[in-house]
Amino acid sequence: MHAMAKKNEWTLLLLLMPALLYFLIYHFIPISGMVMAFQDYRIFGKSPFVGLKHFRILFSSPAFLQVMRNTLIISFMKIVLFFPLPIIFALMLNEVRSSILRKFIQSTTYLPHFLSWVVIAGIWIAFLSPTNGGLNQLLGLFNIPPRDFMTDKGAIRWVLFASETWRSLGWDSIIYLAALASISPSLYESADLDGAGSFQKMWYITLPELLPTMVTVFILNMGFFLNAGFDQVFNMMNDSVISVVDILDTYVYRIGLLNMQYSFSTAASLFKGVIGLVLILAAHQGSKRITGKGLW
Amino acid sequence: MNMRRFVLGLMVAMLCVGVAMVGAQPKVRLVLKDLDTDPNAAAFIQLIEKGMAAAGTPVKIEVVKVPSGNYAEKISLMIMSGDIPDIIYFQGGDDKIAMQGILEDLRPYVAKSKYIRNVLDPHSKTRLESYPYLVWVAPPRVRAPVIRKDWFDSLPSAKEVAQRPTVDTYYALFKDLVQKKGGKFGISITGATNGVEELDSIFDGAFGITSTWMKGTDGQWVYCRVTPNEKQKLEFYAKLYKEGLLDPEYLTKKWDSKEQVFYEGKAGIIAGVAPGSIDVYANKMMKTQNTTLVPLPPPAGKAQGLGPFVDVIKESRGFAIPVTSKVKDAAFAVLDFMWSPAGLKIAKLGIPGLHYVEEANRYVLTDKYPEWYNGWFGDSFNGFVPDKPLSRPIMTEAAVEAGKLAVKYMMPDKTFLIPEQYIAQWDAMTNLYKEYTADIVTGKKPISAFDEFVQKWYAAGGTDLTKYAQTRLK
Amino acid sequence: MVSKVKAPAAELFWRGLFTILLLFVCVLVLVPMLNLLALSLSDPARVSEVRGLTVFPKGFSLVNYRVLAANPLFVRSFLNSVFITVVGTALNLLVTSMAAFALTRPKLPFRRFFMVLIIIVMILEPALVTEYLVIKRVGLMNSLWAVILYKTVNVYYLIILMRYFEEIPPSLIDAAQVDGARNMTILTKVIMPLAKPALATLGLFYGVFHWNEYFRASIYLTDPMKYPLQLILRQFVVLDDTASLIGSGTLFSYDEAARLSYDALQASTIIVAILPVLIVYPLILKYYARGVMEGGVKE
Repeated sequence: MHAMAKKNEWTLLLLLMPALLYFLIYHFIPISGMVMAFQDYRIFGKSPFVGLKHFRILFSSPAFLQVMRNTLIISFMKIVLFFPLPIIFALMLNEVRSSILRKFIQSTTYLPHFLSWVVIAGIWIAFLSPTNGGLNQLLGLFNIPPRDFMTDKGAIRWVLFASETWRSLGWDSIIYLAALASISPSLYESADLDGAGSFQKMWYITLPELLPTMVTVFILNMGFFLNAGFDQVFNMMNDSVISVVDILDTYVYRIGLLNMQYSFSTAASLFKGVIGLVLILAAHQGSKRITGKGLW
Repeated sequence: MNMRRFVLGLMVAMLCVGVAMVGAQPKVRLVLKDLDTDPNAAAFIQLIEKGMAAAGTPVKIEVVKVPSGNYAEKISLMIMSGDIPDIIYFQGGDDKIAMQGILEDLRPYVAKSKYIRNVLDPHSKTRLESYPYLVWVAPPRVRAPVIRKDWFDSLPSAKEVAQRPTVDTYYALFKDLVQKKGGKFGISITGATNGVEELDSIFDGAFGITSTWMKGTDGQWVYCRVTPNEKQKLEFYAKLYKEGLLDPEYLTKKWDSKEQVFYEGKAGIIAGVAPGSIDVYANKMMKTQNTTLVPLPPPAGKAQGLGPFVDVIKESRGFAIPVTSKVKDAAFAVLDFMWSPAGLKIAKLGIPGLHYVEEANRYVLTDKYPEWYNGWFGDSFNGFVPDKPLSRPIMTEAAVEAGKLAVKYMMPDKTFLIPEQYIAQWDAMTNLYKEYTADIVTGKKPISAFDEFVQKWYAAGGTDLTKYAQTRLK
Repeated sequence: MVSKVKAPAAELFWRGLFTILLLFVCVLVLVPMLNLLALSLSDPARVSEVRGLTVFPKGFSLVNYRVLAANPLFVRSFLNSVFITVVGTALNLLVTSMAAFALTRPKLPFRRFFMVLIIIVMILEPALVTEYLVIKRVGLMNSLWAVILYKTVNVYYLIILMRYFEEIPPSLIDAAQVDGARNMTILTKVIMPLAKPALATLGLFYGVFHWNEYFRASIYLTDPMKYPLQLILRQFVVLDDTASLIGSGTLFSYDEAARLSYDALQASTIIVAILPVLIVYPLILKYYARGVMEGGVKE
């Protein structure tokens, strides 16, 4: 029996093998390239070791603080403020009795996720247009004067938030809907017998069942905190709002274009990665302490 | 007997030489943006190979496939992974590679060439001298403003601009376009990618801004965008915007919207690169509104010129040959051949039977001709004198006129490449400029904010850079 | 003790409110999509009449779709995308399930180590150049596999699946082990059937990921016959000084091409890319039916 158990353990490793092989080829071998962050990369010949030069350049730029601030604010809006929305959406959908209606809503609301930001930017810019955009026309009905949201420094971050919500609400709720689908109905049945109302069922059964998924998603998103959405910002940025929406990735993209490319952008990725790692581990520990559940 | 053996021997010898020649035909690997996916590429290359063989310099040309997308990025990736073709067309990203000593100095090749050295314009020659890694035969990339001919004909203010171009006459024209022609605004620009660059290409000269760095009255070099001239110019732009003569949403307008608006009649004027883009616009305007375009001269004020400033330091795009190539001479021979009469014929007329038909005493351009891209090896038409006349001019009259204006009014730039240690600051300084300009022109900030901008610009690295400039510029 | 008499009126109210809110979201989402559809189906001469909130085409014309279909690579690229998506997703699900299962067994040797490892993998994405070089060295250049194998295991999804596996009552697994089942059997006969919603979800995520993928294809594939659909669609309209069309030259007179609207063309490329997903998606909805877990718990 002991031998059997041992063998079982090793077959587990076997099951893990394909994934590990993938990581090896696509991740660990290339990661040795991360050393570029500490060199002045040369195509031919030896790349001289320059230590923290690129990191120093990154941090010493006059724009760095501004860029970091924007990244953190925008990320906060997208990760923290946005977080409850797909959950609420899934919960509301769960309450809809008609399965046809439910299927219809589920089958349509995920669609914007498929549009590239080039397209979404176009749609939103047109929607927010002060001359003939839908939103301003609507405001006009209430006698509110038209406002150019896209070039408004105060409004633009909210535009980013709103467009991201529009794009991801339906799609991000899928994972919660899947979780909801696997809650055993017997739990609800017992609750019915106890005379629980819908709201109580939701509060005492549904939410706790959803907690593991919620926690997992939240912690994982923490790892990407410094990302803030390059595609979106790149496509929706315009000259008037640079100072409030320029994020780390757009900054690195520009600088990378103008000369220092690979070494510099590698250094920036490394920086983002390290911070992301720290954040995830912190979120994991914090969540374990608060809710008893972490990432593992 | 002897005779027969002799002839046989001769034939065998010739056969051997022939085989040797074919075998010795150098293979040149060429990479050119979008060429590999062009449906006519194979026929095009065949014509070139035939032509070169006839000229006594046979080569085999292989077009290297480049995955689509950001060309500069893909080329960089390819080179960095060690796969280096023999002729490389660059459209950005070459300076990094040149810095590493991978590109060949092309000056000796040009000097020895049969055709290229005769077709290079003065600005191209200057660029080759200071940055000898790229060669490109094309007119300077300058924008010219054009107006719809039907509106030009019916507006006296337009004729006025043509006769006596000044900032005021332009202003009057813009007003007329809006009032009399029902245009939503006077001029359409691509603000999202170019900010006010397209306006600058028309008005920089009039406000005395003639190069990136200018010598002040104190003999010191100063960056053009922090001068009082710039302030006056921005004040003018703000006025245009306020009075609705500029697209109120120009900051978010991209290329296709700029053109769309023009073809739909919502704007009367557009500024485009002459002659290439003007040709496209003119053709399209003819199809959509049945009128052509009239190029306008730039306004005269403190100076007069069309922007953007013409870089005399380095080509922004062009052909390079790597030092690692084993067939450098053959590679350059391809480039040289394309500027010989035989090569020009292929490049500019296209595939016989498809884009043109040869008749007894002329070449007839078919209606498929507009699909042929005649700028693969350079946009210039220097040295192009076809042996038979063409049934119609290749370029629209509007484009040719615009091209002439561009050459007449181009402004050679005085600038230098930003050195590595200032790159991050330069990015910050550029963004400051962009943002303040956008805010001032759209009225979010008053013109007095310009002084604030200048202060911040110097603080963000401008002082250091200006000091550096004194050492670099003569 | 909660009163047995519920307040149906209040519940009805809330349910009604939710339904209205959700339908409102649907409208917000559908109007722009219908607008794109309308744009793509409108007569080119009347395209300028299509405003932001228009949902019906002005006039009717299939010209934009004809331009797309006329591209000789269109059908081929569609098939390529299908291949990449189907094969890729199957591979993804297989490898990810195996890994998720292994990682949730406490008896896995070096378990902690692997957990930290995968987190690092998730966060630290290697630079594009280095990945490119490795792919080159392994000999996968210009192969569809270079595209398919990218993100064989998406760690984010892996962790979600692990979480899901952990929720499966251990009693079931113990029962199976008592019956003498080996690991592989447990995975396939016990875990996976119970994890249908999660697997369906991951299948959707991975599938959509493959279907939308174009960047990796753009750098690794040089043979146009191998291009996936998204790549062909994206290189349709080029905006680089002037807006111009690529690759459809042979089928249209220059006149007709000049009259096309790029916005409409772009809209049609979007519709074409989304249509297959729209059709496939409802098929997986059945996995979201409630009570899928039922029958597994022998309480």
